[in-house]
Amino acid sequence: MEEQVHQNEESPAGTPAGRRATRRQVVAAGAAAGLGLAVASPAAGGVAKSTRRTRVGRAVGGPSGWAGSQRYQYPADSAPGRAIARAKALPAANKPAQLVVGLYPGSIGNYSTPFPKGATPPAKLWEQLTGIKIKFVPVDAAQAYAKNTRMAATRDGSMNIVQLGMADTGDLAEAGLLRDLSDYVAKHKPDWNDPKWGYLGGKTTTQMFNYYNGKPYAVASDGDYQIFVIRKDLWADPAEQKAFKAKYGYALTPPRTWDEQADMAEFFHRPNDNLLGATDLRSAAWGWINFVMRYTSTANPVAYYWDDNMKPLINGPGGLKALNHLIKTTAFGSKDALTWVWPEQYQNWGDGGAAMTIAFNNLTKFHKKGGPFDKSGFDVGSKTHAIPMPGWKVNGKLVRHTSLYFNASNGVNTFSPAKYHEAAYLFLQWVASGPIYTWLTANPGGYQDPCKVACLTDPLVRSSYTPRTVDVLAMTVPGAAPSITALKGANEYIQALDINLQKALSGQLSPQKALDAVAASWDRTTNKVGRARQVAAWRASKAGWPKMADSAKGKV
Amino acid sequence: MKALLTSLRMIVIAAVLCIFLFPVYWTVTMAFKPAEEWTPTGGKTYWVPDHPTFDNFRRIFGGTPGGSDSFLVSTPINATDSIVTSLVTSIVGTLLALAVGTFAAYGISRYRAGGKMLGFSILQLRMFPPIAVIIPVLFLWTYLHLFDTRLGLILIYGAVTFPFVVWLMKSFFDEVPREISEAAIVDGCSQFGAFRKSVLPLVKGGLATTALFVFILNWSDFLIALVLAGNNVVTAPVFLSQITSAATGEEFGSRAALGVILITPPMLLSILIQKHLVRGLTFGAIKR
Amino acid sequence: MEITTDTTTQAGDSLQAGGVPTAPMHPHRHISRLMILPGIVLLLLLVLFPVVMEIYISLTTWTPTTGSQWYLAYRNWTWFGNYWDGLTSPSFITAAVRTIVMTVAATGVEFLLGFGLALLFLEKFIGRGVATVLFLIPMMIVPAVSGFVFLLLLRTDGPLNTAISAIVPGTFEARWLTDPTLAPVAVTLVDIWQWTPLMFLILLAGLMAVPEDQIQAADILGASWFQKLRHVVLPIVKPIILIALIIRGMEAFKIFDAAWLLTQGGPGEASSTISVKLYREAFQNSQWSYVAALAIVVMIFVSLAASQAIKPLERQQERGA
Repeated sequence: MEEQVHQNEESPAGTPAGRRATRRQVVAAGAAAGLGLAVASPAAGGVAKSTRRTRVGRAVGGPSGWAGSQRYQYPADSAPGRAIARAKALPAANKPAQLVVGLYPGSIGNYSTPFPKGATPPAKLWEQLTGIKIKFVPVDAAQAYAKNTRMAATRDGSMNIVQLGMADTGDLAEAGLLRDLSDYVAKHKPDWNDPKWGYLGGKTTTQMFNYYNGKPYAVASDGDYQIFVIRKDLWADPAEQKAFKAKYGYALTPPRTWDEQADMAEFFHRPNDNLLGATDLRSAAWGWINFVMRYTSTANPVAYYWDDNMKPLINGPGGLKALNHLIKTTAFGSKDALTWVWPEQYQNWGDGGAAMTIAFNNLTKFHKKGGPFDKSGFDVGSKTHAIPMPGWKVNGKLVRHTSLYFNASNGVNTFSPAKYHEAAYLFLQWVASGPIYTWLTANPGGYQDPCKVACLTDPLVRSSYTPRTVDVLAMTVPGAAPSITALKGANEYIQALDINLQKALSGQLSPQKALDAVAASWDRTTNKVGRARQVAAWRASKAGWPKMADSAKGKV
Repeated sequence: MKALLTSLRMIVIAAVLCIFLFPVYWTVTMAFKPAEEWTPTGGKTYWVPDHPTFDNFRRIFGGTPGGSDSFLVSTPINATDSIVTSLVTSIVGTLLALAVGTFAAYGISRYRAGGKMLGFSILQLRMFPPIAVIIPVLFLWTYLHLFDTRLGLILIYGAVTFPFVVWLMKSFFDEVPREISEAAIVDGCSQFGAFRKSVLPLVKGGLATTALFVFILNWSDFLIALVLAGNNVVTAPVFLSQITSAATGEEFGSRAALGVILITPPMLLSILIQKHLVRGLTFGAIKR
Repeated sequence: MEITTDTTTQAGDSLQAGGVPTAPMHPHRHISRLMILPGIVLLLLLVLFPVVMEIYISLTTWTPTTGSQWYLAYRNWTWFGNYWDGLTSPSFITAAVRTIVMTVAATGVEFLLGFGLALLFLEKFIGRGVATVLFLIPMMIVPAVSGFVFLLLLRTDGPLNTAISAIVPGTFEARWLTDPTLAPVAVTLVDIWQWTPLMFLILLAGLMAVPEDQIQAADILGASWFQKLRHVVLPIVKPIILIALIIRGMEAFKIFDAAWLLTQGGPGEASSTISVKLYREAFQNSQWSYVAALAIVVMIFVSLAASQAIKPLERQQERGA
């Protein structure tokens, strides 16, 4: 993949010398990466110095002392560089001895376990560079929203940095828990929109991840984009191809549309042979995203959940088509589909028990030969092939969108001591900056996923997630449609959708009735929040929606 | 005929025990199953662990996950603190409830103290759905600086289980004939002395049962410890619910291992009290 | 010989020979007040503030996401809006009815099983102590654990179905957790599994407290086992039975752990009990004022039910028979 060389948009207009150094550093790192070599570095031990001369001869910061660490180093006038410099220079009154940081337990590994072996983990590196200790408090994902709500209600300032999911931004901002970060963003210029170090998907993604009602309240450090995977050994099998063509009348190629997917799921559904057709999740809290996957591509360029006056569109023909497809294809999954959560799905995939599935993009990270899910020795990793999410043909044009949910982000707790707010923000700017984030996302000890442009070309990330998956992400993330986010009451909207989808899937309601119930429930929530205000927030959130119908441009 | 009935009785008891203990068996075997055997999705049910291991126990006490997980480094966790916290808060909370509740129960039973309404009001404490009680108490505890403290948990545990003690002990006190305390008073005891020396010993069985029940309630509590604590003060059930790893999600085996360990204190307590129960209390002292 | 149960008489009475109540004795008043004092303090602490606060916010639309402190909730005054929403919400009404049904079923089965077992355990047998302790184990498994254990046991391809398949012809594939009718049954079964030991324990303790002399007297009179049960044992144990039923009933009404861990109240809302509904509203939607209103409705209802259930108990005590 071509190395893109651009200026760091966020840095202040630097000296010509500064610009040159940046370009050379990037090229050197790219060359090293391309060769698979690391620039020679001194003996191990992981002792980081704050400035170090590299081959290109400019002072840099970041990790050091291990092979390849140069890729994640940065000059002083970069977002992470500025963060460190400012954090070090904080007056004593504003410099806390420690920052209490809430994190999902599954994420703590990304920040605090050495990767590669022998390297100083990011949190420790920050401590060495700034003198501010980091204390992680595990915040269980299932309880995080309740915990945050409780903290907001009781004005609890014991955590400097809180953990949230993308859907919670609106509620927690309204609750006063999340500090408005506009002033810090203007002052310290994070690299969120940087073409190389910023979020994959550019400004659109930044808006979706970090902004509510036009202001930044959170810093996302995750990329829970869903990918669609097939078993390429099955698709490549001539006998299968022949049988499929005979039965369905068209060639067996990776599915571009949901109709094709349904046919192929039916074709490969052989429970007696321990092969399920498609195992994308259908359970409560996890399965609703797969409805979204089928819904957002029912209109060109994209199907919204509401119109511009917050009238629900979910119970229109697009929603019905999506739900009918969802129900139909449930039959090609496990009988326990309504209770399967991702561990069951991953275990089954590792056993070679399914032909297709939709999962977090860390599927390929965890399905390596000899890995935790390869207990039967099937080595599904070598047979897994990611493709862009199928879509629908809308007036002859192919519309395809992937989506995402959960997605970890962090915010500064308003109720924590105000004098330390800046220090807390600087930690977030540093740890979610392109270089540092790209480094920590490859760590198999945690489940934070790629979300930066740089991740696409990073050798550690590519080898960890497999090159094919990373390439598919490159194709599809710019066109990703948000799930329900950036609104007050987002969780209520999701609840209503989730519960009624379950009712439809278990036969308690007909599909149209279920969707109508969703729409009615959504209207109630909108009225409770205040229609005018919600309309404004919704319209603002559309800045995070894709403008193109198929960012993968028809490729599979 | 008697022998037939007896063997029938034994068979029924054995059958019921087997049915009730099967999930317990499943929990115990899960604790010794390696990660591969936690959720069989290939159609194979592991009735007995194929490769029993102590990995899960090691994991919850600070070890890194072994076996096929070894290339994945997960953050080590240690359950010891949470177990200690649970022990402290449950035991002291139970004692608090027992003390306050037994006195109140005697007062209501023997003296009709508080009139008709007190007993019922105490019962009403339990009628509020716990979620609704927790929210105001959350604020109250925050104002009193009892939030996320062991003392705070002890007080709330004592308070929410005290109604059980009152009502259970009241019913056991009701079974004690008045004559017994009357006789003690005639013999020269004070009211309190009569209570302590002649009545209390008679309800030992009831007290033991109540103590066990209350302890189990406090020991198993999840919601209260989750909402009213959870940062610095983490009880074992809350800790357990958070045992996840990046690779395998909820670690069933590790949770089962901790679950098995958590059976021990209530088990010990019940072994201690079964002597009191089974001894058989006789009221032979009174002849009417 | 008259077989009576001794229960209480009015406060402060003393019995003289012949059991004739006299006027209340003053010294008892102090002792009695002292005994209940700590209880009253606890009661006030934990009832007064919470109830007042819950009533207050239930009349508003304040939630944590309003952004203001709770005591400023009057700014979002709505009178009985929340109550109206709750009582006209089909989801809540259905959950309430479902909870009542599950409570009655669970408590009933737990009582019958527990009482039957207690009767079986009454006479000594070898290993009775061990068996008693073993039988109590289900109670001692923390719900956080039994939740996921039953989740694994009740899967469509899980051990329970596999075991039943071995006995009945064909494959038994009940969808315990995903069928709307079976899901509440599964949750009820877990509750029965967990709490029958408690009923067993309480009833055993109660049965054992029956005075030996009265049993012996009945034996002398030639009573059969069944007559002994009906005329000697049951009247004495009745208060304990009632208490056990009331207490377990009240607890079963609040059933949460099993329902949430097994099915999240699903599929959809098929096994949503009142507590599950409240939990969702409180912690997933942060609708704290709505929850307060619903909780007060529940409390009023349970109060009424319990006060009716207690009447036989109080009547018995009045009569002293």
